[in-house]
Amino acid sequence: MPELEKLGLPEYFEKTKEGYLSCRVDLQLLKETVRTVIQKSMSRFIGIVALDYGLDIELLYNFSLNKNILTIKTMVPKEENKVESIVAIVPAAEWSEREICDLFGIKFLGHPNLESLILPAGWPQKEHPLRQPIRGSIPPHACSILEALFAFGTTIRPSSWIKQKREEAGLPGIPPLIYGDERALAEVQKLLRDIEFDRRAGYDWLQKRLRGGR
Amino acid sequence: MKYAVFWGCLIPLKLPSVELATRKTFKRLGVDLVDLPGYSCCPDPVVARLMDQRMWLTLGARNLSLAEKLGLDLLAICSGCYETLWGTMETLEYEPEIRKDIDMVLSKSGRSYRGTAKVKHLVEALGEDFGVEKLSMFISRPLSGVRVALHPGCHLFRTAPERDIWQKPQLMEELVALTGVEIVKYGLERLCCGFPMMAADQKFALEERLLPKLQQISISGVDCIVFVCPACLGQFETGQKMLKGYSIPSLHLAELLALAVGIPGSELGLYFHRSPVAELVEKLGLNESG
Repeated sequence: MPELEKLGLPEYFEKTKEGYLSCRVDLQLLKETVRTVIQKSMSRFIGIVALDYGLDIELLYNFSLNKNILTIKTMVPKEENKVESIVAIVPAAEWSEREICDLFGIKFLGHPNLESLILPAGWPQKEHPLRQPIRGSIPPHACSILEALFAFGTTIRPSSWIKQKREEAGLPGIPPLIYGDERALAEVQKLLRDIEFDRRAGYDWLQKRLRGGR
Repeated sequence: MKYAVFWGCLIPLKLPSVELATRKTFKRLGVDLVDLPGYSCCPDPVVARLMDQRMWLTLGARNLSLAEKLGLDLLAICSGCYETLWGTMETLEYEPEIRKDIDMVLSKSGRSYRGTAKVKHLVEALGEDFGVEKLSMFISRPLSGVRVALHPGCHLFRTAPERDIWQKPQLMEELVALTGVEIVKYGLERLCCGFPMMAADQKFALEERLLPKLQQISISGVDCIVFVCPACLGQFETGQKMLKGYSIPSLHLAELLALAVGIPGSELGLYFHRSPVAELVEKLGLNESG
């Protein structure tokens, strides 16, 4: 986009509406992205906004650039709860990071002085007034059903008992559904990834369970 | 006649007797059933749909595309699967923006949805495509003297806006009547069985939904209850045990038809039931060929 080039911004920025440009980056790439923006454009730091989505906290790094608001977005999983500080690149972010640490409990690694900024003296160290308990959007009673859907492509997993009984009844032991068909299962799992349902539901592919517990 | 068949999860994994009855009955009728290879959970039309419509439509459209690849219409034996597959088809037909999105998602996996396969419920396949009159010629063992209550289930009433919502429930009634049984009305046919609420509020599901139905059905003095939805059937069988004091045989329409076309009850794997269906069949002397 010529407009991005003119502003000195990388091509992965998108214009969301008139006067607003944004990009979403992985946590590991945040610091480098901020560095690129600061070095290659005339951006000025505005502040950092934190939003609690239950499983993750989203951080919005806002900059001002030639009458545009520029936002770099990243998600911090609550289990990790840490992100690299950008203070070394943007000294003005020092208080923003301290404020978010106070209110949401996120640790900013490499911050020169991550002491409390706005909470009153004597406030309990592990209590962060704007932080919600880790919790997904899936109702507890639907969690095991959904975990089976991600792992097996069905909501019920065939037991060895049913396989044996099906064979005794003259039916194939494995019913003709996705279970046991590795290729079909991989395809369904890819679809679930492609539509980002795993992210929305908070499914952890390694642990094979939904984040946030029951 | 030939269909790709969508067995769903519940029938093959919890009630294989329904799968057996369907396979054997269709074979006797000369209708070919082709298993749908690699199908996934439909997914369910209540919780999954409300939880994430995009996921619901994506998996539903993939399942439909499997039938399209076979060049066949898709037969759903489970009413819940029917609602999902039919609902997906309807949504993709009338919502072009959503259709575009789902097409894009499927194309990344080398699939496409064209909307060429029609979705048929068991009662439509037998009552309309095959035909009630033709089916009546296969009834070799009328089950006269057997009194039955019907539970059509909520999903059977889902239909296109221009169609009559009673069309499929009436087809179910016609098919049941064809077997020679006496249908006994108990007044609460349309009340939900409570299955979708079980995980959220078991007490309400059992005591405010299932129990009133069981009480009325008991008073009506029937020999059994007939279903077309395996989830409702399971709810009645499990619920009767949980509520205690009820033990009414509960069976699927496919099983009733199998018995009426003369398939021996002993070949239907009726021991998969948690209600005394096998005992009823034994008592009626239906374990031999008819």
